[in-house]
Parts: sequence; structure tokens; C-alpha cells
Amino acid sequence: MESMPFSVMCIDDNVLLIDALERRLNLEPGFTGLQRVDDLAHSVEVAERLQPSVVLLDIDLPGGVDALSILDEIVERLPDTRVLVFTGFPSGDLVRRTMSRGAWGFVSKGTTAETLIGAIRRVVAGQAVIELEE
Amino acid sequence: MATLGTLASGLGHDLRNLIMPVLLRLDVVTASNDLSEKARSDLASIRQSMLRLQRLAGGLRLLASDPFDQRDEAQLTTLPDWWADLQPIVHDALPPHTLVQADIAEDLPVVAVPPGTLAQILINLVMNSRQAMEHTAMPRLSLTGRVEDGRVLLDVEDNGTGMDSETRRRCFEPYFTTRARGYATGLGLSTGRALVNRYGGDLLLGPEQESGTTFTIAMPVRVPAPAGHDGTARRVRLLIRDPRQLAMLRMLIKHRGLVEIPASTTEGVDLTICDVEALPSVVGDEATSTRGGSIIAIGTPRADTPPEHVRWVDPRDFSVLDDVLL
Repeated sequence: MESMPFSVMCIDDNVLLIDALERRLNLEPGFTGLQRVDDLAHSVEVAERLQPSVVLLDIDLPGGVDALSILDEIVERLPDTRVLVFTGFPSGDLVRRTMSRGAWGFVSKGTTAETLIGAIRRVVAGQAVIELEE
Repeated sequence: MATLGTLASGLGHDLRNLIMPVLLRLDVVTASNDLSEKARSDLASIRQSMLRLQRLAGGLRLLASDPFDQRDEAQLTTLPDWWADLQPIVHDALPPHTLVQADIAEDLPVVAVPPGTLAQILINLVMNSRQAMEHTAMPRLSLTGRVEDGRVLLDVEDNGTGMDSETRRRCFEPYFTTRARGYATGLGLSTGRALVNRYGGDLLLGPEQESGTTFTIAMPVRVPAPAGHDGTARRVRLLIRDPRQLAMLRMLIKHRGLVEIPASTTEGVDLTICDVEALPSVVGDEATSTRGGSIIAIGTPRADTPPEHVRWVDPRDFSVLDDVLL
């Protein structure tokens, strides 16, 4: 069966993670490319231009950038893009706040690489994902 | 202790940010076809070490849990999960040849003490045990969880030197210590007891024994969710099409100790949660409607539908469901 093509945009300041994720996603069937954001404050504009399938959004962004506002704007302006929230400080409260605003998934940074890749694939397939911890 | 907890949590967070890229790169290297068996074995060992480091980072994060965080979920601890997070730190706090045994059953009730508070108390006990077992040939620390009189008890036993009668009598006194000043404050046990007392629990010294010492952390269990019509956990059926809402509701239901039943079930349902589209079939059609039980509709109230027993919940504010599900 042919895999559905998908692209991923990372809104995260962790370059080590983004580089490694791109290398890992290259192994995935259907993966068409990873998009980065140099200036996090302009994440929404970049997403509008690139129209990624999935946005991996770190909820704890530096420089006072409000990740929840980014989530709201992407949900409103890009109905075909699915946001997967990725955080080192997971909590049930944050799951509720982000998913009720329209995120498709929530993944803790304490999960394994397999879980993260699996979550991206499931969100691409239209499933909602909540992965708090291993 | 709070400052140390904050520092530990920050370190845990930074470690996680570094570990995930390594795990992803390990996947990439492992996928190569050109690796020898030995290289694959080395990679598997590196992965095991990274996963252990990841669990250690998770445990460090626990130490900064804020006991004053009043959100209900922050006040509850599922002991097997808590132990899985904390185990690497306990191992590292003891001499390398220490045998650590834990009997913490998966079906122990959830306790109403924050995980960070429990972690601080346990680490204090472990540090005391470490000192007591300094000259023990085969040091051993065992943790046993059990239920007694509606509380969960966690016994922490070492096979160290034990306590003399004066130490046993005074060990919960603030500033009492058998160690040299500068190495110990004498506040560990008294603070631990005060912390767990705040949640209706206790820290107790076990009976005198031939060797070693046992402390018991006594914890109240989570107030159980109201029982369903037959006295067991409330049975909930979900008629929700949006996968995001469905995933969130499943998380809440599990957290509250409720049981999800198949959407097609119409008998013995305590609560039905449905979306606007499914509501007419729930309240109107006798063949599929819920017999008894309450109904929650996710969406904006419609003038033509809401009978009095339907409660509406805004899909953008699921926090109210916490109260509804209690």
C-alpha cells in the first residue's frame, strides 16, 4: 500500500532535535520534507507559506514567543495542517488546554523516538494522539 | 530543598532535550544495512543506556513537582508509574552493589499525595539507609506496597545498622541527627512526616528488628469516583466523532477511574457523552437511547434539542468535565 505523502514543520529552538528528526523522518515512507522556522515569532506566516501536513510545536518557546497563540492561529488559518504539541513539561491540564484549542496530538519529550515518529504518522492518518510518558 | 528541586527539574528538562536527538540518530544508524553484528550489539547497548538516562531525567523532573499545585491530577500518584520514574535515582543514590527490591503491585489504589512530595520523602529515607548500610556486606533496600484499613502503606526497609533506643525515640525530632553537623541537618524525617501529614498521611517508624530499619509511608487513597448504578465503577459510553475530543475524553475517563463501554451499548449505562450529531439518537430514538444515566452533549446548545437532563459542555473548555465526571 502506498504511504500518504506528508511534510513536517518544526516550531522549536532545539536545532539538535530538528536535525536528528529530519534524518529519522527520511526513513519514513511518504515523508516529503522537514521545514524549519528561523524566526519563531514569524512561525504562522512561514506555516501559511509552506502548508505543512504536520506542525510539531514546542510549547515552551524562548524569547517570549507564545506557543498557544501560534496554535490558535494555525488552527484558524490552516485547517488542513495538524498541530502536534511537543513538551518537556506534560500535564493533563496542558493536554486539555491545547487539544481543546484544536491540536491533534500531544507528546511528551520523555517518550521514545518510536513513540514520537508513531505519533506523527498517526496524526497524518487523522488520528488524535496523547502520549504523556513512557 | 525547593531550590534543589528546581535545579534538578531544569537539569532533567535539558537532559531530555539532548536525549531525544540521540535516540532519533540511533534509529537512523541502526537502519543501515552495512552494520556488523558487533556494531548492532553496541548500538543496542547505547540505546539501553540512553533510555536509562531518559528515565533518570524523568525522575529528576519529579523532584520539582510543586506540592502546592492544587490541580487534582498534580495531587495524585500512581505508585507503579512513580516508582518506574524514581527507580534510577534510588539506585544511583545507593552503593553500586546494593540489592534494591520493589514489590509495588500494578493494582494498588492511586494515592492522594503528590508524586514530588513522595519522591522527596523516599529520597530522604534512602539517604538515611545509605549511611546505615555503609558497612553492610550485602546491602539491601526493599520497598513493599500494601493496602491496610483503606490506606496504602509503603514499607521502606534496609538491612543496615538499625537504630539504638534513643535514636528510635527521637528520630522524628527536628534537628536530631546521629551524623556530624555539616553532613546532616536532622530535618529529613521530621520534614518528611510534616509533608505527608499535610495530605492526611503519615511517616512511621516500624517495630524494632534484629538488623536494619523499616519506615512506612502511610498514604490516603484517592477519593473514589461515585459508583455506578450497580455499585461498580461508572460506565460511560462515548458517541463522539471528533478524534481529538475522543482522545481527550478517554484520558479524562481513565484518570477518573471510570470505565468506557462500547458505543452501541444501551443497557446499564451510567453516563453518555455525545456530540451534537449523535444527541438525537441518544435522547429521541427509543431503540438506541440510553435507558437511565445522565447525558452530556459536547457542543453549543440547540434550541430544538435540550431536554432538561442533558448537560452541555463547550468543546473549547473541557475543564468543566472534571467536575462533571467526579
